[in-house]
Amino acid sequence: MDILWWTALAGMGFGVGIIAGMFGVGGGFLLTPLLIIFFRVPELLAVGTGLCQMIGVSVAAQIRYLKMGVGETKLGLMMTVPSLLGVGLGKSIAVFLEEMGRITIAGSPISASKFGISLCFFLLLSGIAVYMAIDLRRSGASLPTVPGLLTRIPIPPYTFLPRTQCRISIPVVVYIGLGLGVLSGLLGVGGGVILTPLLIYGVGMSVAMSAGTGVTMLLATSLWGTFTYAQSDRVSLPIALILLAGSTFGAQIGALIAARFEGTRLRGLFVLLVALTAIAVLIDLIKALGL
Amino acid sequence: MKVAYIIFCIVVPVLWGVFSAWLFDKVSAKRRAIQAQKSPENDPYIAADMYEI
Repeated sequence: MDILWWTALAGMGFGVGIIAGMFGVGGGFLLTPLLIIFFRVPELLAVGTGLCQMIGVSVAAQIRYLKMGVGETKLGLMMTVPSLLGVGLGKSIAVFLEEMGRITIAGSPISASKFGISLCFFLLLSGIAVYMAIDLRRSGASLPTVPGLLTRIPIPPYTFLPRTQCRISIPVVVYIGLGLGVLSGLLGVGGGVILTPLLIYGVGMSVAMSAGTGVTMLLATSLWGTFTYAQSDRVSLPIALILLAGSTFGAQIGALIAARFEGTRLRGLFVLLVALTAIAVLIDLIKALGL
Repeated sequence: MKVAYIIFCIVVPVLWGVFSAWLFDKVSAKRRAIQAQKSPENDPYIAADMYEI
């Protein structure tokens, strides 16, 4: 790993930071696969390092949302506990895949962790790209102002959300937290890119409210995830810090760019970037399989 | 040694996050000035206030 490698790494952090600042996402879902594909960082080390980088991102977001005083605190805390369990589960799956060693897929031997994590990333990224492409088509429509589908799931007991003025099933909240925790533990992503639209369209929250609700959970999962991965030496602090430095400054520029340009065009660009990353993950997987 | 490594892995990014929040405060004043010149848009993905989530 020479100076060029580290410079390229900082450049990637900066680039992802610009995207994060422009589109209101953490960028973990881009950073981790890019670390694996272009920087040849071992899968579990990339996941652990992604979680470590996410701590800095989440702390900054938490400070801002505390100042703003937005978010459904109760809902955020209710998701946090199962998400921590999910992180442990996700890490166990990642370790299990690593311990499986090499497996044979379509007649080609490949590391199980490489196959499993790359496949999960491909599905996640393509799902996000497809969802956002569909969402772009209804860009003229306003955000929902009535309680969404998640609030209508009839599984008691329920909890009341005072700021959103609706009730939601506690088991549903628990499963959402658990699922996002598994994603964090397995892939090293924050999950905000999934949680935010889920709260906007599924619960009927405003954008700021949904982001403020999820940030506590993201901080808790990144802290716990880093702790568990660091115990098995799967965190590279220098890589995390270089990425964090690049993404911090990139995010400021991204936020300024977002303020200057028209929203629909930017979202189209975002869909394209996510789709390209999904294709890169797929190509990398196909190359690893020797197909 | 390992305990120190784990603590560093957690404390250093936390401190960086605090710095990042401070930096954001400085930049956001400029951003708000730009946004004030632009018509508001109801867009869930271009809400700069929720960036980095």
